[in-house]
Amino acid sequence: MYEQVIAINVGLAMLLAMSLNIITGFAGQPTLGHAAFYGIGAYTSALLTAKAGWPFLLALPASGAMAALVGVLLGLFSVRVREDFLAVTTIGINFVIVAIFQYVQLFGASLGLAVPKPVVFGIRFGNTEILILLIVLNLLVYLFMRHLPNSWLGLALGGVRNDEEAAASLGFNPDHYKVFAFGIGTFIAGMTGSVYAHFMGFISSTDFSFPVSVGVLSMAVLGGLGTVSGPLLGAIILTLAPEVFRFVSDYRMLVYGGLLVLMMRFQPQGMVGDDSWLRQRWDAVRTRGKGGARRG
Amino acid sequence: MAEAKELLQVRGLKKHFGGLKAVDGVDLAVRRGETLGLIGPNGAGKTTFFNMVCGYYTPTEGLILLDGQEIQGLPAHAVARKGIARTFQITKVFKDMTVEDNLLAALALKKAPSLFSSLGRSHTRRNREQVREYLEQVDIVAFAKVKAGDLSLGYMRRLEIARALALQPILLMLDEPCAGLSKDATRDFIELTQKLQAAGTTIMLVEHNMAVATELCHRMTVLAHGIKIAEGTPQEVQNNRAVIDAYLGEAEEAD
Repeated sequence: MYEQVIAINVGLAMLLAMSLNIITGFAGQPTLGHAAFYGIGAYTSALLTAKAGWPFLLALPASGAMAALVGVLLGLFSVRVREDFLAVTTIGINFVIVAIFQYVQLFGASLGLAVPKPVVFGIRFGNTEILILLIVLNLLVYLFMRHLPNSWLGLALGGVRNDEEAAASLGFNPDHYKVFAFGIGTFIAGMTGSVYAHFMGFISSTDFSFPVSVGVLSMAVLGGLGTVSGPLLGAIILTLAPEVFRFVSDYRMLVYGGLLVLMMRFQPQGMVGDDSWLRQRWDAVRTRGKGGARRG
Repeated sequence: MAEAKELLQVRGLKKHFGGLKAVDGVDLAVRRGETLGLIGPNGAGKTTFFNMVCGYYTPTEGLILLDGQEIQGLPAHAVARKGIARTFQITKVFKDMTVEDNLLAALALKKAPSLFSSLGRSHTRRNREQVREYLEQVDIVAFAKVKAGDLSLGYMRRLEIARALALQPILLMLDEPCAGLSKDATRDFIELTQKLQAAGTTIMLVEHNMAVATELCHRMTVLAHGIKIAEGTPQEVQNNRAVIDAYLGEAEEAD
C-alpha cells in the first residue's frame, strides 16, 4: 500500500534525523556522513540474517552496535580535530564506506545484497509489521530525546557544544561526552539501517551515499538542530515534499542545498527553535487566546 | 595532625614556549581562607601561570600541590574535580543555554560524577532551588530564565562566579574579573568578593587593576617577565622599588 510505504519512509527519516540531532544538535559536532552509519547497520543486518542465520531481533541491536563501534572510532578522532575539519572528514568517511560496500565481494559489491524478510515469533514481517516496529522505535528515541534537555547528559553536551574549555572547568571531560554522543547517535542510525534493509529486501551502496547524509542534515536543520521536535517536523516535510511536488524529487540536491543555505542565513534555529518565526507566531496566537500580554 | 596552612603550593613552576620563558621558576603559596593577588604588568606571565594551575597548560617544569597532592599536568576537567573552580578573563558562559541551565550544569560535578549517572534527571525542584541560592548570592535570580548570551558583560561575570561557586570549590580562581567592567560593576564585584571572603572562601585573584587588588587581597605576588619580583601585603608590594619600576616601565612603553 502506497500510504504505508510513505509512512515507513517517514518513520525511517525521523529516526535518522533524531539520531543526527544528538551528535550535531546537542553535542555540536557537525556530521555530513550520517548515511555511512545507516549503511553499516543495513549491511550488518543483511549479512547477519542472510549469511550467518541470525534472527532479526538479534541482528537489529547488533547492527546498531556495529555502527556505534565505527561511530565511537570517529568520535575518538573528532576529539583531535576542529569543527570544520570534522565536517570534511565525515564527508570522506561517507565516501569510503560507500566505496567499501561497492567494491568488496562480502558486501555484494555492485550487485548489492538481498535481505530476507524477518520472521519474528512466527510472524513474517510485511510492511504493517515494519511500520509498527518503526513506531515503537520512534517512540523510544523520542522519549529519550525529550528526557535529554532535562538530564545531566543534556547539560554536559550543552556545555561542550558552547565552550569546551568552560565545560572542562566544571569537571566535564569534553572528549568523553563527544564520543558518547557519537556512540548513541550512530547506534540509532545503525538500527534504522537494519530496519531499512529488511523493509526493502534488497540494498546497494547507493542507498547510503552522500546525498542521503545531506538529506538527513537538511531535515534536522529545517526543523531545528538541538530542539526535541524540530527534526521530526523536518523529516516529515522533506520526506513528503518529493511525493507532493514533482520538482522536489527531480531537483532533490538543489532543494536540500538551497534549504540549508536559506535556513542558516535566516532561521539558524530552525522552524521550532527559540525565537523562530513559527514559534513567535505560535506564542502570539496562544497569548492572545489567553488575553495575556506577551512576555518580553 | 593540623591541616597545613597552605592550601595551594607552587614550586619552581616553569612554562617555556620554544625560546620564550613565559613563566620561569615561580614559587607561590595560597593560605587557607586568604585572598592572594597575582599581579604584574601585561605579558608578565600571570595568565600562563593561572592556566597551568587550572590544567589548561602543562608546565615545562615544577610542582603544583593542592592540599599536599600533586596536580601539575592534570587536564582541566580533572583539576576541577580536585576542587579548583575558575572564571575566565574573556567570559565563557554557555551562551545558548539559560542562566539556570548554566548553573545546573555546574551541579553535575557533585550530583552526577560519572558518564552513566549523567543519564539521570537534572531539572528537579531540589536542584533548581539550589541553583536559586547561588543566583541569589550574585544577585541575578531575576535572569534565571534568560539566555546567558543575552546578559551584559557584568552579569555574565556574575554568572561565571555563581557557576564556579556551585562547584563548591576549595579554591576559587578569578582571572581578571574586572576587565572591561564599569566603575559601578567593579564596585559590585568588590562587594561580592568581600562577602565570599567573609564566608571563608580561599581565592586566587589575577588582577591588572592595582586599586582593586589592593582593596581585596591579603597578600600579593608580583610577576614580571615570568619571574616573581616581589610578594607581601599590598602596602609592602606597593612600596617595593622593583614593582614600581615594572609598572612605570609599562607606563612608559605604553606612551
